[in-house]
Amino acid sequence: MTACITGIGCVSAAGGDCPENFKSLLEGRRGKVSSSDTGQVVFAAPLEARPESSRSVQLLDAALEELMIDSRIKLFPRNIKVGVVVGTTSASFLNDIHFHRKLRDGKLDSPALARYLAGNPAEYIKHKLNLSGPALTVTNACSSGSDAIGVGMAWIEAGVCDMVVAGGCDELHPVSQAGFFALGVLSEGLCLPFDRDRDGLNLGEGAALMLLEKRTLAESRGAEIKAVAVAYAGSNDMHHITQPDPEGKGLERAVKKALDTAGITSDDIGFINAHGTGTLHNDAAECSAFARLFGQNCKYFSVKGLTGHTLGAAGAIEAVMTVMLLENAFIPVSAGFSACGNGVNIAPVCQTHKYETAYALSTSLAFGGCNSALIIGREAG
Amino acid sequence: MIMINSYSMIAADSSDLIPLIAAKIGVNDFSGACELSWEQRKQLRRCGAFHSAAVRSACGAGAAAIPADRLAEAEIILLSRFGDQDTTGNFIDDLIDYGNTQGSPIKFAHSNHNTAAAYVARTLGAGGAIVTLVNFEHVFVNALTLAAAHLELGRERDVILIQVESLSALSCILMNGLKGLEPEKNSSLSAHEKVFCESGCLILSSVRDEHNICSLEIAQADGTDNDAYCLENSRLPEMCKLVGAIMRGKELSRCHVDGETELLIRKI
Repeated sequence: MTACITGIGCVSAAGGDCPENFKSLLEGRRGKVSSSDTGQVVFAAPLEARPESSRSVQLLDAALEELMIDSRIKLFPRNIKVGVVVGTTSASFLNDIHFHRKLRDGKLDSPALARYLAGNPAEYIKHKLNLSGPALTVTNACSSGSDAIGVGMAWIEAGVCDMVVAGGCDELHPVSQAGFFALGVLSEGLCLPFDRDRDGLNLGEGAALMLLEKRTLAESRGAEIKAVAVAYAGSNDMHHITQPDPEGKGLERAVKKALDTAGITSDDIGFINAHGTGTLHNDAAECSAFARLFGQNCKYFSVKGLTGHTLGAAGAIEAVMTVMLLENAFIPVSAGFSACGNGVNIAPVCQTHKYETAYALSTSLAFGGCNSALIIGREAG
Repeated sequence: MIMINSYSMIAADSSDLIPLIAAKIGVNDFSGACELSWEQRKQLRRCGAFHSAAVRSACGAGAAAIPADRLAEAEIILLSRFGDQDTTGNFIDDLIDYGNTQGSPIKFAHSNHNTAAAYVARTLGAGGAIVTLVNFEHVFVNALTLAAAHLELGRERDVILIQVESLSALSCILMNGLKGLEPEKNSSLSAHEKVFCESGCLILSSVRDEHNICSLEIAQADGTDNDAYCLENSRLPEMCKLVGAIMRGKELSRCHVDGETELLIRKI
C-alpha cells in the first residue's frame, strides 16, 4: 500500500513556488542570503512580512495556496476524511522574546499569546480549510517534515484518512539562530555540504506541503498523480542528544526498514536527496551509512546549499523537490561541494544532468538521534 | 484491535498516581510504577522536569512489558498539548539577560521536545522511530489513533506512548489563554520557578502474548455506558480515564475520552 502525491506547494529561499525552486535546483543557484543578528549567513524566503500573522503561518499560506491550485481542489468535501500533519520546530514554541521579556515584568503580551495559540501549523490548516480529519503537528526537530509525511502515509494506508495535507514549515527565528550559534554548528560563510572544508550549516526558512491521496480516490476524481510516497521508516540512534551516531548506524536501520517496506533493494534507488547540513558530524555519518548501503557509486546530493537548513520544513521541502526531480527526470548538482575529505569518501553529484529512475530516497536526521528515510517513486506511465 | 501491555501515571511530585486512581475507583488488584534505578536517575541529571517526567513514566510502565528482543525496535510516540515551554522560556531568559550570543547549548538542545523522547529511547534501549506531537486539540486521541495505525500496518510491533504536561505558571497562562481566560494580574514569572510535570505512559503492542493485559479498540462514541474516571485537576484527563478503565479489569470497559471517541477495553 502506498499514497499517491497529487499536489505540491513549496516556498524557500530558492524560490517562492515549486517552479522557481525547481529552476534553482537545475541551475544550482543559491537562494537569497542575508545576515542574522549573530552575524551568520541565513537564507530568507522571498515573502513580504505580514505583521498580523506569524512568519511560519505566512510561509504555510504560500505553500498551501500553491498546493490547492496544483491539486485542482477548491474546497475539500466534508464527506471525504481529510487529515493534516505538519512538521515544525519554531511554530510549536512560544518563543517570542518580547513576550517573555514582558512576562518577567508581570505584563502579558496578549497579541503574542494569541498568535502562538492560533499558530499551531496543523490546527491552523485544519480550521482554515474546515477539514474533517485529524490534525497533528510533528515536532521531531530537523526530521519533522519527513516524519510528518510518514504520519500522513500511515493515515492513508490504515484508512484513517482518504486525503492528507502533509509537510513542514519553519521560519528564520532569533531563538533558533541563538541556539544553533550556542551549539557552535553555524558556518562562518556559506555552507558547503559534504565538502572537505565544510564548517557548519546556514539556517533557512520555508514551507512545503504535498497532498497524499488514496489511489482509488485520486483515480476516481481524475487527479494528476505526480509521484507515489512508497515507504517511510524512522529510527533512533540512542547515542547523543544533538549529534548523530558517527557511523550513521541508526540511519542505516531506517533506510533498510524503508527498503524492506517498499519491497525493493538498494539497487532500485536511483538517487538520494540527503540531509547534508554541512556540519562535520552529520555529513560524515550520512556518507558512512550511504557507503555501506549503496556502495561507492551511489548518487546523492544535498539541496541545503540552495535553501539553507530549514529545520522542521527541510524534510518536506526535500521531499517536494524529489517529486519534481523524479517527474522531470533530473538529478541536480550538490551545491557547495568541491572535494572529498573529513569523513566524506564518496563525492556527491557534481553536475546537473538528465536522469530517469523509478525510486528516490530522501533522508533526514535530527536532534535526539532521530533518523528518517522516505522513499518516493515515479508514477508509472 | 491493539494490545495494552502496561501503563503508568506519574504525579507532578514524581509520586505514583496508580494507587490513588485504584483507591478512587475501588480497585485492590493493581501494579504500581517501577522505580528508576540509580543509573537511570544519573542519566537524568541534566534534564528539566519535562524530560524527567517522560522517562519516569516510561520506566514506570516497565520496559519488561516489551520482550527484550523487540525493545530495540520499539517506537516512541511522545505527545503534549504545549510541549516543554518552560525550558524554551528558560533559554530565552538567558538571551534577554546576556544577549543572543550567550545562550546555553544544553538548554537549547533540551528545549526541543523530541530530545525528551530521545532520553526515553536511550534509557530503555528503544531504537525504533520517534514521533513527537504538540497539539492543543485532540492530541491524545489522534496520537493513540496513530499508534494503532502503525501497529495494525505492521510498521512497528510495540509502541511506547507517553504524554507529558507541565504544571508551571507559564503553562497555566497558556492553558488559560486557550480557554480565553486572562491570567492573574501581576503574574510575573521567575526564571527560577520550580517546574513540575505530570506524565503517563501506555505500552501498546500488535503481538498477542503473555505480556498483554487487555485489548483496545478505538470507536465512535455511542453515548452508552462509560467506565472512565478522571482524577481531579489532572492535566492528562484522557490518559487518566483510559488507565482507570483498564484498571477496572472488566470483560468490556467503555471509556469516553471526548465527545466523539470511545475506547473499548477488553480483558484478555
